[in-house]
Amino acid sequence: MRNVIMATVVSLLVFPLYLVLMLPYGLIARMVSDPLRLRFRPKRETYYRPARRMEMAR
Amino acid sequence: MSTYLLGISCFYHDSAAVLLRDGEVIAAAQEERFTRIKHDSAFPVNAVRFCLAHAGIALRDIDKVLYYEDPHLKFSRIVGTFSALAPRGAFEFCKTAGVWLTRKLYVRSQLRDLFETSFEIAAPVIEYVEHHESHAASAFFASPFEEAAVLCVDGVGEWATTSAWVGRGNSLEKLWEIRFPHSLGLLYSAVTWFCGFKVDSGEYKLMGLAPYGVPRYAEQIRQHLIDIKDDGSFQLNMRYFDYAVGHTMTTAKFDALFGGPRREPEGLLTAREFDLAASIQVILEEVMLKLTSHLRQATGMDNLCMAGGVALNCVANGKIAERHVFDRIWVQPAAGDAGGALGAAYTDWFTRRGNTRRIAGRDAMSGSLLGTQYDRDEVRERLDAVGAVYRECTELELFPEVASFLAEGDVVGWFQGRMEFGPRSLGSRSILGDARNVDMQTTMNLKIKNRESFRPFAPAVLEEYSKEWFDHEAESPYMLFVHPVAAGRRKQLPDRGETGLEKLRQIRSEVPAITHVDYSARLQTIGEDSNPAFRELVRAFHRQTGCPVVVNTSFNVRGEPIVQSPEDAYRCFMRTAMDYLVVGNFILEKRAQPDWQEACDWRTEFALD
Repeated sequence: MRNVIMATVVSLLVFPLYLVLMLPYGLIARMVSDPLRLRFRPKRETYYRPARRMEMAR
Repeated sequence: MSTYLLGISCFYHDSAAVLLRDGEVIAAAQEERFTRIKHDSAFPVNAVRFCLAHAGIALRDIDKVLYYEDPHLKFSRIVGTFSALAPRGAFEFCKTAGVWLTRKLYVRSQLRDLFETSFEIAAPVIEYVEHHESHAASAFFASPFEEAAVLCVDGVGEWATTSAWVGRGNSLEKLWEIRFPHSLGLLYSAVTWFCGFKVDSGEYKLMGLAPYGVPRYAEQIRQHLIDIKDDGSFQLNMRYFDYAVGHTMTTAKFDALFGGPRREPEGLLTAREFDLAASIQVILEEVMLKLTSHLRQATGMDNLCMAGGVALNCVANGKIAERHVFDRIWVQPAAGDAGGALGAAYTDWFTRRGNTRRIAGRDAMSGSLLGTQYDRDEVRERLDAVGAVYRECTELELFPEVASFLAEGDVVGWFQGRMEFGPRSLGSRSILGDARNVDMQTTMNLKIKNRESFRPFAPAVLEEYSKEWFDHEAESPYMLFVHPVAAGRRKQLPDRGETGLEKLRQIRSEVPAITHVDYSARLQTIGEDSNPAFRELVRAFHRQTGCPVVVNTSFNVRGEPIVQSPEDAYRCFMRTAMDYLVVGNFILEKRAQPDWQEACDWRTEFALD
């Protein structure tokens, strides 16, 4: 029960953060790049993400 | 002094615990077998207790606990996905974030609390291993190869859904990955869901359904749902899928593409479901063949190891083997998330600690017989406690007698030695029947397993005779490859244009009970160093009948985890139309048992899978 109440309270606190941070970030990121590669059939030779680049990004 | 590492997978599905002693796997079990809840995701306290008891150690002797994924990376995927798809799923994100920020993100502290509550001592050090690294390690370090290419394909772990690795000695190097939401596993699961089966459990039903249909949707899937490159990399069209931020697997566009809403669970199976199953199987095989061909070309390796839920698609595995994409293939028998527990522990032992890897025998899995076992006295005590009527015989008497039951058409529950680790029954907790019997498939499906009539059964065959009965080259001890029944064993059928389930009741070979409608079979070869009691039984059956093949299916009913204890086996035996139960050297005949009464209908005990 305590967990449920805590999770609900945190969910309510997250919502303003979502509106202020994630929503604008998400919309801008989608315009500038395509982070999840959602654009279907882009001009791309492969969909593999090489491991080295991935490690550097981290 | 030995070093003990405990691998754990839990909190999603298929919880399991695996114990390594100086890098050697000595015990492994899935929690579902103890709790009797299929795919149980709870902290595997029973599996951990079993592992410790088997090794004769206490929790304080464990050097480190390795958890099979990294919750921080997983949370980054959730945040990344919801932000990239904003404002879709805004409220869903807030709800999810609440649960993550208060609980799911702190797996280490949750595990620490659970260990301390359950074992009443301080928990060992707990570390995370990435999900696909766990899969890759479970495939490569358990394999018989000094070096190999490794392919992991599943639904999703943290970000990766498909990853390729090169394994050499005690090291694993990642080459590339494909990330969420583009997932071959989730594509297959989406179609599974659309066809009215459960995600994360009904996929193997869809695979079994495929031969009843024709792949008439394959082109539509290629055109609208997935873009497949020649190198096997792929991208999904997320307009058709809802799983990234929604509550369902597919969208209304998906319904429109395939002529209406999804089939209701347990509803009537129509040509659409048969054909969708056939179509998605064709697509999956196409991607897997391209992925593996590219991997061979890119790495130059002769050997391939595979893990991840998609590696349990034994039809695709059979195709990769038949095309000789690699010289040798080894698939982790616990390829799903349960096997992640093994990979997590292996990662620490080999990759992080740099211990030398020595390869001995067929592989490091001991035939996957890594679970619980019961000695003679324990079995007797437990059978007495449930009021079972039994007789004991010697080993010399046991095998010919049980073989004669099978030859007479009886169905036998077979409980011997250590329980299997992974989803397949390999002759330790099995229901067995005569593969030559034309009624066996129907009897086993409807009267014993209480499951859908279209589901095929798998054969277990003595390895030395397997090539006379099936078209295959390499051994298949873990039932992970589908191969055709040998042409000489097939029966030619007149083409009457049967479709769907009309194909079911036809005698297609000398072993009709295990011959699927496309003449294929999910093969288990029983080698000389395999499960000795099971091999001895099939040898006795062969001596009596001239047939080295028996039906081998898991010892459970639909929705039930495979039996773990003699009591579970007796309960399952009494609830179904099995004729005999054999536990160790004890034989139980159904007719001799007292009446079985239960307060309520046992069919309601297990949620249908």
